[in-house]
Amino acid sequence: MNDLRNGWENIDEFAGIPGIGITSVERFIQGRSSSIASKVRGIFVRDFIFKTLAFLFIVPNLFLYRDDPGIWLINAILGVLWIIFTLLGIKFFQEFKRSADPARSSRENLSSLLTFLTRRFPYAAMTAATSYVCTFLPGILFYFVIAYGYLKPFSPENYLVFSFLGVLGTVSGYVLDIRAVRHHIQHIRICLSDLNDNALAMASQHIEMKRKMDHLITILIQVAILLVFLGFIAVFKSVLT
Amino acid sequence: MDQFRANKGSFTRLLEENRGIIHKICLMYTSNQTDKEDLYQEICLQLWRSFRTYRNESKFSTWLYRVSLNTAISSLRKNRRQVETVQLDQTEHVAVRDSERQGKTRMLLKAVSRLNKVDRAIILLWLEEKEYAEISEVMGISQSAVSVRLVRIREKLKSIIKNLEDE
Repeated sequence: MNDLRNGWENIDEFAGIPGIGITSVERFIQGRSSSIASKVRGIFVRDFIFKTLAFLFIVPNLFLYRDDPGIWLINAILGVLWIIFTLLGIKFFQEFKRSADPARSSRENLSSLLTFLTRRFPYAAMTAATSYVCTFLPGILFYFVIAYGYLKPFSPENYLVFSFLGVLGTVSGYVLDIRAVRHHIQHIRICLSDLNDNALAMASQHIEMKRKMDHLITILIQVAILLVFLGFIAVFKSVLT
Repeated sequence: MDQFRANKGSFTRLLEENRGIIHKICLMYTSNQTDKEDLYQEICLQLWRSFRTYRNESKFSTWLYRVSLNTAISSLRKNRRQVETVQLDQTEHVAVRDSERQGKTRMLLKAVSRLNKVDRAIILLWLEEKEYAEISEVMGISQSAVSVRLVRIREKLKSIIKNLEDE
């Protein structure tokens, strides 16, 4: 086995790696990343971009539709939902940052990432997907008031098309995020079982503990989803009458 | 802003001092020059993100190995097809100081590449002559588990090398 160490010592440590200066460090910092944590971080970033867009539609809508109490109320409801979803998004992102800290031991790092991805991420993906409606609906309202100066009456076909687009965006956003993470979960499970037979059991224990704490969030999200769809129905009802 | 610049300066210094370690970790986990550079960049990025919260609670080398190895273990290949096509000459990107020893070193890396990602991390720490206590701290397993794992990994490596020599 000493042969192994001799071979190892013989590797030219600096071959193929350029010198490191401030410029190359800046390049590294701005570079794209392919780690699991960075991929999941990317999903959160995309969600925050959507939420920012939603904010940019909801706030002007509150002024532009001030003479139409029905639409104003819908915007106000969407604004409240936006606040709830943004707070939930921040909460999930902070939990994720704690889970993905690579400065811990490999076992802790992998098991906390696994716990987050299996127990918390589905809720994070659900709030991110539902946020889409908070962007899509105010976006339509904003477009109509900017383009025509008023909310154009919808035909039943328009009603169907917009509902379909809203539901399609929400469902596909959720499914795609969950599918993207499924592969990461599998990778982590393999690494954990390679690390130690007990590590996977320990992670399962953490997952079970988290599961017990998830009930309140489940109820909150269900209420929020219900409110979004009520908002949806209210918008189209007010448009059609 | 000044704090940020000072941080960046000291981070750059530390990175420069530990370039060799990161390079060796990249060698363990990649099979071609492009992947090696990608992983090197990835590790630097994660080190920078973690550096801002580094509190001297553990030895600097332990922190460095933890962040780098965790990044290597959890990194995903960018282009699977490209990697698979170049896997036959996976040690070509390794520079060896003494050309006479090239064969032995390349054999070692080829054998290591057949281990799983966790075993690669453990054997790398052993090759770097780290104490069992530090390996245990980096990996999060007990010292006795480290000792048992190392025996198994070395056995595995011996048999892989024997097979490679027979090929």
